This record gives sequence, structure tokens and C-alpha cells, in this order.
Amino acid sequence: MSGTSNSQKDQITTSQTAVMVINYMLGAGILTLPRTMVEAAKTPDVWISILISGTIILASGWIIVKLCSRFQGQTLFQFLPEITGRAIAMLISILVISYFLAISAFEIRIMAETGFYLLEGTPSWAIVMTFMWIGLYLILGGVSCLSRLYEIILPITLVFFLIAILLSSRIFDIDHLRPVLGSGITPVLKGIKPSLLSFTGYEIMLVALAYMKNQGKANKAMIAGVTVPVVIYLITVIMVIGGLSINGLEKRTWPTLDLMRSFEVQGLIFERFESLLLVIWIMQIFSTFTVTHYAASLGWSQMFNRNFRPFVFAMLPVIYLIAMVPKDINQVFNLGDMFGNVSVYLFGGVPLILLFVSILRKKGAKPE
Amino acid sequence: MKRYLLFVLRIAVAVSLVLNTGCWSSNEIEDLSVYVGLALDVAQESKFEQGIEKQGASYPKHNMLTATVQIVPPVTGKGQKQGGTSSEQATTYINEKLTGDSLIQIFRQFALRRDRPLIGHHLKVIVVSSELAKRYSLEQIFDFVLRDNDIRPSCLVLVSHRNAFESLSTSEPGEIPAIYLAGLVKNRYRSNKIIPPVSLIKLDSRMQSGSSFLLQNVITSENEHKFSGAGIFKGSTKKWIGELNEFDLEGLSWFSFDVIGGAVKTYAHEGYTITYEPKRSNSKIIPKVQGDDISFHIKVSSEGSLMEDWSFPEIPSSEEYMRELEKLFEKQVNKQIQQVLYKMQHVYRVDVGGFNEQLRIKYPKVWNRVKEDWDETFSSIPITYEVDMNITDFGSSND
Amino acid sequence: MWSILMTFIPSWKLIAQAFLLLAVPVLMILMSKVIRKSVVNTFALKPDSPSPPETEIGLANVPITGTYDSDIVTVRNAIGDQADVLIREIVISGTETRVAIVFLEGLTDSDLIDSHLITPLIHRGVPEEDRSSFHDSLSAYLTERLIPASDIKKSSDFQALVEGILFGQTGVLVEGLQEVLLIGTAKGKSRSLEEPMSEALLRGPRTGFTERISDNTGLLRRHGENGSLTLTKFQIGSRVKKILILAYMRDIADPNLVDEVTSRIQRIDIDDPIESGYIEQLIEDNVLSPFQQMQNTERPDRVIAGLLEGRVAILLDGTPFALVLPVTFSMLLQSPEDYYERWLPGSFMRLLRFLAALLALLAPALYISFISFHPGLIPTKLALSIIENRQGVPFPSFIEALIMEISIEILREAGIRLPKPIGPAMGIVGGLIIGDAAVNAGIVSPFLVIVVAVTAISSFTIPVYSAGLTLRILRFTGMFCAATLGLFGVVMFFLLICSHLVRLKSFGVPYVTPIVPYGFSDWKDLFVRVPLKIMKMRPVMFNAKDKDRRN
Repeated sequence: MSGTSNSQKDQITTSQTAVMVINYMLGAGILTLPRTMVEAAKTPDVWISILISGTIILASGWIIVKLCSRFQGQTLFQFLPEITGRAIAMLISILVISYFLAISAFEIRIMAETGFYLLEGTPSWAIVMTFMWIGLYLILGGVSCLSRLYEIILPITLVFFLIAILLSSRIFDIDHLRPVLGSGITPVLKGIKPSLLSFTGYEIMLVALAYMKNQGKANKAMIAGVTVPVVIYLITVIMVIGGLSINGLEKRTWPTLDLMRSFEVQGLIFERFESLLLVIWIMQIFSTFTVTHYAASLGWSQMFNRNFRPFVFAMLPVIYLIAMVPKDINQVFNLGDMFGNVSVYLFGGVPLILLFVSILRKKGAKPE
Repeated sequence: MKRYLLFVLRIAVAVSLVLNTGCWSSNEIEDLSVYVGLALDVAQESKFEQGIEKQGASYPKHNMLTATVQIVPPVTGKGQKQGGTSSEQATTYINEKLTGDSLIQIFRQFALRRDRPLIGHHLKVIVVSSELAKRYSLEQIFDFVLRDNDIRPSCLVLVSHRNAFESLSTSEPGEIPAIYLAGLVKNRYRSNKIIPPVSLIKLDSRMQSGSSFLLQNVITSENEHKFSGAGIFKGSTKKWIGELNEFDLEGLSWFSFDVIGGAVKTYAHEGYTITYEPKRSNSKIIPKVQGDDISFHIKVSSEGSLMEDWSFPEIPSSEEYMRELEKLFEKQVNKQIQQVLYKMQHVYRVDVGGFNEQLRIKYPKVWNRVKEDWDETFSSIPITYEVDMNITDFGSSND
Repeated sequence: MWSILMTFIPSWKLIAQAFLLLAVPVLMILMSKVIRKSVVNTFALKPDSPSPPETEIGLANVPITGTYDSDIVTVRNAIGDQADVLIREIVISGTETRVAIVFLEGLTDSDLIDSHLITPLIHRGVPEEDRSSFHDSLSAYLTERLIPASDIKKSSDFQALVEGILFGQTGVLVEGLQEVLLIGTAKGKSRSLEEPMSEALLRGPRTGFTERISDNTGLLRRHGENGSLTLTKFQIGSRVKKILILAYMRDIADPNLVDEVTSRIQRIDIDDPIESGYIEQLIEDNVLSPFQQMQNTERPDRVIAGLLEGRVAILLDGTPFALVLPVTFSMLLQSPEDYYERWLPGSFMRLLRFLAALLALLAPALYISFISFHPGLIPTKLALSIIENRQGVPFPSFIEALIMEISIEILREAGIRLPKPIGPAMGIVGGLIIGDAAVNAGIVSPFLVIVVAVTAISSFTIPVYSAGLTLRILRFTGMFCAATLGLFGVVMFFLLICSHLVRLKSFGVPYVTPIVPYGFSDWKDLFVRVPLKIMKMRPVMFNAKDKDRRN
């Protein structure tokens, strides 16, 4: 029961690592993904963009794994000073931590925003606080508890999600997806950026890899962790476009929810799936929130070499205040886009530089 | 002692938190008015409204539309249950009418009249009167409905020939007209005069795409309803411009959406009735582009059975006879298609047959060039068609 | 610029909320620490004042003199005032040696004393030829030639004598002997082996444990010839001493687990562990958890199956309930029948039980959240009929459900207390009448009665009674959550339970194994029970020494 989450005993398996990456990626993004992509690309071919960006993510994930496996059993925050020296390490760590905090806050805010579908009239702070307290309780259990919970909720969410979204095949029309590449490849490339944003999540490997029981399999976990969200996103985008058509979804705030609202299945206990999906998806948002909250707290604690628990508590109000800064939903979405951009540089570019530097300065062990 | 005091304090804080938060947004289902149907008409103040306005109960508004909501089930006193159930032939719904110029404001006006607020989760059918749709664009009329979080985009949209609220009333006891209308759409396997249901989300996507579209028309007489034909809405304005009748719809159905049921009736050379029931059909609109010239070819093939034959004396169902009848049916379908194409191209000058979709899919570049003014371009495009009918069986009797 | 920045500075209200956000969990943590601490203090490792009331009789180290008259007085002074102590004085025939036989009435086998103690001493006595040598080796002669009993112990002080007598042995004081003979004649009343009440099976052995530990260990031994079954004996209880037996398979169970359990048992400090529930509560990991961390069972077959998986069992004298540990969540929904029936029906039953557990836990909560928060989620036709049914119900659905659930719980509790023939009848009649009357009176809606009935029936399918209790408690928590936050509350409740479960451990084994971490080998016996031929390995989670089930 002790909160020593950094102890050697607190280890996670390869599948748990993969699940952690999956659960981090599958967050609030899926609710808006079809719209953001179609808005940018204006073509039904955006599913190709997802495949392309999935490949890009795999590449940057590979770099992160390469970097981390030079420092067995150490998280980013622990090995950074070795590579860059204390001052720069501090800077990068703080950047990464703020990023995690921001993502955490973003998820909280999205949940508060979608909350009105479920609970019109309940103040959002009540919704958010319950959510954060339960997250806190979980995080205090350390990384192995987090990953165990993720493994419980992943199948539940995926099964419900897939059932719900496949049931929408009754309004699916393949003509909405045709013609393939009708307007050429350029719009597809434009769709890559917004889809990259929803793939943020692989960066948790910077932390999680240190706790893996079998660090040699980190690449496997990474590939599994990226492939599943790619498939889920692919199905989502195809079904949403096929069901609503790009014209229909462009003006919807939450296109994935609206897809669920656009059909009724009679003869089942549930005719309507949107609240069900939302409720189930809250669990995914919960996992994204907890993992980022955990990573940020861990970052502080390892940077200052202090006990982990006080930081978990201290981060609660910080995340809450960040989450409540945007004034309206458009600011929230803009903020989300901004985080996505930051993530591309922070976790696409920086690890590559770090890897080069560490190879040049011969820091860390060579991975076998 | 101090410790216990603190403990009690903590408990008190926890309890008060729970009590304060209890049941914020809870609203018992029976305390809500579930409305299943919504009819939108041109402003037509009810007697009640005229009455209260005379007493000065009014707020600043232009009378632009009248909204009728159908609330089910009406509140019944619990006591009635004890008495004879057969004696009460009460209607199973209430229609409420209010007039104004903002749909949401009208809806909130209901809060002044009913203790049970309206919820739109169960809205099944929206009926718009053609009169209203002629004056205002559907985009304007449906703006609130599309924004509202309660109303589901799966809700069916119909257009009514006359007053829309009439289609929400019935003289049949026990019937809820809105649910009845929503159920009619499912009969597509029995009749090809029903177009595939247009839900709110489909309506939205069609309005966004800027193409013209159809909405099923419902006509009412003596409180009874029938689907008949479809209203045509022009893509550029989203206003009602006319309608296709049942016969046109049959023609349209052959190439625009797959026919899975219905009946094709024609007369043999001798003058007696023969009827063909299509089981499945396959249609293809093939766009052809040569240079700047666009043309379409429609290919329809259908399989079905000969279900009625009034020939007397009975002609045995021989192979030649079948081929002969097939020709007759093909001629009939050709006639239907020709008529609807004429209406589309020359009367209303709109494309509601899905030609644009096929062009977009096959020739996206050409489509991008012509999409701006498609309805006009369409009306002068040559369209050829061929129909192939196959009688595969003739029911249980073969003579 | 400044003014734009200013707009992003959170308002006082937000800061207050953020403070609340932080303060509540801090308070909760402190509170749980206080509770935990007070719990630990209450059952401290050492009693506050070490005063096991050794002996008021003051017989410690008083030797037996061998002088018959003084010895018998000492004994009389010590325990002569006990109502059930009998002292029978006889003379060994053939000699003039006086003998006192001291025993407890009711705890000893008087037939045995008559036939194997009194008969040889009075009736046969010492034959002619031995009389001379008799006095030289009195003690040896008695045990070797005269008394035909299997269990004879010798003791030379009164302390042991008195304790022996009080435990059911028969003390034999012989004139001129500076020792006392303690003959094992204990015979407590015990009931015969019956089918366990709380864990009835259609198919499977019909025997259950009894209150006597020797019977119970015998049942385990008799289960089959088995060299590796190890029964370690502990004596616990400071005032009332009881035998506790730790059973495990020597070459299967993880030695670390055995050590851990041993050390926890040795730390038990209580006057009298009346039932194995005491043991359970004294050695469990988490006192505040609603989930049991040990499995209790009356079935020897269940214990043996547990031991073969690498688990450890604790048997206590005086109770038919053995504890099997560690336990994980999935085991609470498993029944031995799953294994006795063929694998298809076994798996089906098990899946059914998982569904039932889910229903028992969440059905009323879902009802509340649908009726009070999400009328849009119910199919339209159902919604209409619910509205009609609920018309005139004066309470919100939460109160309505609470009324019915509490009355069901009361009925169930009453059913247990009532004599056996009346119990079930009362349950049915009470349930029917209350349900029907409540609907007719318009207090509850018929739909709720269905929900409550389904919930109650579902909770009867849980094969472990204590687990059913847990679900019943949690059901009410779920209802509260649903009443506050609707479906969102239910999901939060679910997440809270899951968060608790992943943090909970039973003797080092995470409570949610083998559900997570994903491992195919242990899933073979989770939601479905695959054919026995495929289940070749023992569960990985218990870290068994011998992993192969076929050995």
C-alpha cells in the first residue's frame, strides 16, 4: 500500500505498456476527429491521411524507444541531465511536464463540455471534481495500478465502441466515400496534420518504458500501441463519413456522437447509442487524464528527487485551473490544436536531437 | 475530544456536500412532456392565442410560423384506472399549437402553459407544410432543430401538401399519428412510391451539399393520412418548388433507389390488367463525358413475378407469353421513367435523381467544373435509358 | 495586451473550486489514515498490558508429591469446585494402592474409562507373581501392563494435570507415584458430516466440514492418498487456546506465501478467535475494503481444489468454515460445479453468473439514471409505457428504488432468521404481497418491481455468500451515485470500484488477476472454463512451485 511507485517492484508487462499507449491515444480526440480532418482536407479521402500519419507516428515512436532503451530503467526526467546537462534538462523537463498537464486539462475540459449531453443543469465543477478525485485515488496506486485499470477498461470501451459504430452501418453509404482520390493527393496531405494531433500519446513511452519488465519488447508494445488506435480511427472516420457524408458532418460539433444519434436500432434494449457511447468514452477520457496527470506528477518528483505523492495532490488544482481557462468551446478546440502542434515538435523533433546527442556524446548503454 | 470534533466536522462537510449536490439535473420521466411529432405551418393563430391576445397576453413577435407539438401520453388521472377501462376512448396524444417567429422561443412558451417541460429526445417525425417551405428556406426553418441537443438527427422529415398540423391528428382511437407516420416509411418493401427515409442528418447533409432533394409528401383528408408523391426542394434556395406525384415517384424509383417491392400494372393488348411485382432490381446511372458534353445512360434490370393476370380465357404461362408480357412491363416502366425525367428536366429543372452523385464519383474533375450551376446544366443533358424486366416466377398458380 | 491577459486569470470562484478540489481528497486521505491507524491500534501486535491470566489456581511448578492424601487435596482445592469434575477413588485389586481418577463429565468417554481404566484396575488388578515387583516400577508397570489405553502421557506437576483434565483427559493419581498419568479419553460431541448449507451443489460431494478440527483435517487427508499435503498446527488465542491448522501442498504452494501467512497468523493477538471470520479480519490486507480478501468455504473439495492451485487454507477448531487464500475477484463467481459439469455448461453458467453479478450491482442504479436523468435513452415505446405506469407515483425514482430495495433486504434478512420451514414461504409471500400492494397503492411503479426482483434473483446466483453481501452493499452506493450524477455517476462508480480493485491485493496477489494483466494461460479459467484437457498448467498468479497440473 505504500506509495513508492518508483520502486523496482512496480513493473508492467509488454501488453500493459501497449494498452497504456492505446488508452492515452484514444481520448477526447475521437469525438471531433472526423470534423477536424474534413475541415482541413475537404475530401472524403481523409482515411488515407490517417494511414499516413499512423506511419509517421510509428517512426517517431521508434525514435523514442531507441532513445529510451539507451537508458535502461530510467525515465526521460532521469536521463535527460546525462545527455544535455542540468540546465537544458530542466528546461525540457518543464516543457514536457507542462505539456502533460495541458493535455490532462484539455481532456478534463472536453469532458466538462460534453457533459451537458448527459447532465444538463449539473455544474461542470461537480462533474469534473468527481472525475478528478477518482483519478487521484487511482494514481496514488502507482504505474502498475494504472496499467491494470487500463487493461480492464480497454476491452469494455472497444467492444461497446465497435458495436455502436458498426451498428451505424445501416446508414452507411459507400457513395459518400467515393471517389477515392477524386481531388488528388494534396487535400489528403492537408489532412495529415489534424490527424497527427489525435495520435499524441505515444510520448508516454518516454516514461513507461522505464517500468517495463521486458524492455527489449518496447518496440513491439509501441507498434501494437499505435496500430490499434490507427484501426479505431480508421473505422471511425470511414463510418462517420459513410454515414453522414462530408457535407453533413462538417457543421456538427461532435460528429462521432451525431453519427450515433442518426440511427435507431429497434428491438434492442437500447435504441439509442449516443449516451451509451459517451458514457463508455468517459472511461477513455479518464485513462488519458490519469496517465498525463501521473506523468506530470512523476516528472516533478523525479526532477526534484522527491516523494511522488505530494506532487499528485499539488497538480490537481493546477490542472483544474488550466482546464477552466478557455472561455468557450472554440478556444478549447484551438487550444487542442495548439497542443497537437507542440507535441509534433516536442515529441517528434526533440527526441531525435536527444538521440543524436546521446550517440555523439556516447551517453547511455548501447541497446543490444 | 478535539479529534472527535474534527471527525464530526469532516463527516458533516461530506454529508452536506452530498446533499447539496443531490439531484441537480434529475427530472423524473413522468414529469416531462415527451413530444414525438412536430408540425411546422405558416402562422395561423389558434383560438386560444387569439383569445389571450385580446386580453393583452402577448410578447413582441412576428407571426411567421405555427408549431404544433404532439405530446404523449396525456396525463390521465390515476383514479380512472379503477373504473371501466373500456368506456374511456380518450385520445392517446395531445396536440399543442403556438405561433411565433422563433422556434426555440415558441418551445419555451410551452413552459408558461404546461407544468411538465418538453423534451425532444423522442421526436420521431417533423412535418413541414409546403406553404411554409415555399416562403422560407428549410435551412432557416430547421436551424434550431439541427442545433438542439435533445432532438436526434435520426428524426424523420416529411412535407405535407396542406396544413402540417392536420397530419398529426387522427380519428382512430389509440393511434399516435407521429409514430404511425414514422412506421409508414418501413413499408418500402411493399411499395416503390416511398422514397428512402430522409432523416434530419440526411437533410442537413443534402442542404450542405447544395444539391436539390426530395422529401416524402403526406396528404391528409378526413383525419386520415397517405404518403403520396414527394416535395421537391431546390438546392440553391432550399425552398419547396413543386412536387412529384405517385406515378413520377415510381418512375424515379427505378433508377434512383433500388426497388424492392411495389407493383407495376399495365394493360395487355387485349385490354385486360396484368401486374408485375418486382422482387429486386438493379439500376445504374452511367455518366459519359466526351469533351465538354455530358450525357447519362440509365440501365435498369429487374427480377420479379407475375402476380396478377386478368386474361380470360386464362392464357397458360408459357415462355413466349412471359417474354411478351415482359415487353409490356418494360414499356410501362419506360413510360414512367420518361415522364419523371421530363418533369425533372423541363418542368422543375432540378436534379433529384442522383445524377450529380454519379458524375461526382466517376468524373470528379468534370463535376467540379459544373457543380456550381448543376440544376441548370442538368436540364439540358441528354439521358438515355434501357429497361430489362425478367419474370422469374408467376406465383403459386401457373395458368 | 494586459487586459487580454487579465481575462485569463481565473476568478475567485474558480480558485475556491480548485481549493475545494484539493482539500477534499486531502481530508479524505487523512481521515482514512486515522481510521486505519485506529484499526491497527485496536488490534495491536501486542496487547496493551501483557496479562494473560496464567493461573488463578497458583499451581505453577507445584510438583506432585506422591503422597496420595495431600495430592488429592491439592486437586480438590484447584478444581474440585467445578461442577463437572468427577473424582473417583478406587483401589487396585491385589494391592492396597489407592488411585484417584479425575475427569470431566461430558467431555470424556465414560465407557472408555469404565472398560479400560476401572475394569483392569479393580477387576483384574495385579496378579500374584507381580505384586512384589509392582511397587518398584510403579509407573512403568501401570502404563506397560495394566492400563490398555493408547494415549497415555505422564506429567509431574499439577499445572499440567489440571489443564489436561479441563481439556478432556482423564487424570490418574496413584498413591506413591510422583507422577500423574493423563489418559486421552476426550470425546466432544460432534455432529455428523452433512451437506453444507450455504454452498449447496447439485453435482459434487455432499460432505461439508464440521466444527471439529480433527474431523476436518481427516476429511482433507481422506480425500485421497497424498504425500504432499502439509498440515501445520498453530495454537492461537491468549485466553482460550484454539488449534489452527495451516494446510498447503508442500511441493506446490509458493513458500513465500506460506511464510507470509505464517507470520500473519503468529501476529494474531486475541483472547479467543471464535470463528474463522475473526482470523480473516485479523490477517486481511485492507480493512476498509468492501471486498473480502479470503474465501470462506465449508466444502472440502473446494479447499483441496484451492490447495492444488497453489493456494493455502486455514482451518480453525470450532467452525466448519475454512479460509482459502489468496483470493481474486474472479474466484468469487466460480462454483465447484463449473468444473464438475462438462465445460460447455460450466462456461455457460459462469458467464451467466458474471452477467447476474453485473445486474445485481448496477440494475437499480441504471433504472434510477434512466428514469431520472436520461429519458432519451429509453426506447420510445418503453418510455411511453413507463410514463403511463409512473403516473401518480409520488416519489422520485431514487426514493422509490430505495424503498423497494430496503424492503427486499429486510425480507431477506428476516428469511434467514425465521425457522427453516417458514423462511422461504415468508420470503415469497412477503415479496409478492409487498410488491403488489406497493404498486396498487401507487407508491412504486410496476417497472421498478421488475427491476428489483431481477436484482434480487441475480444476487442469489453468487456462489460465495460473502461476495453477495459485498454486492448488496455496493448496490446502494451505486444507487446514490446514480441519483446524484445519473449515468455519469454510474460510470464514476464503476471506475471507482475498478480503481479500488486494481489497488487491492490479497496476500500479494493483485485482486484483479487473472483478468489483467493479459495472460492467455490464466484466461482459460476465467469467463469460460475450457476443457480440462487444455487446462494443463496451474494458475500462474499463485506462483506455484510445480506449474504442471498433470504432476
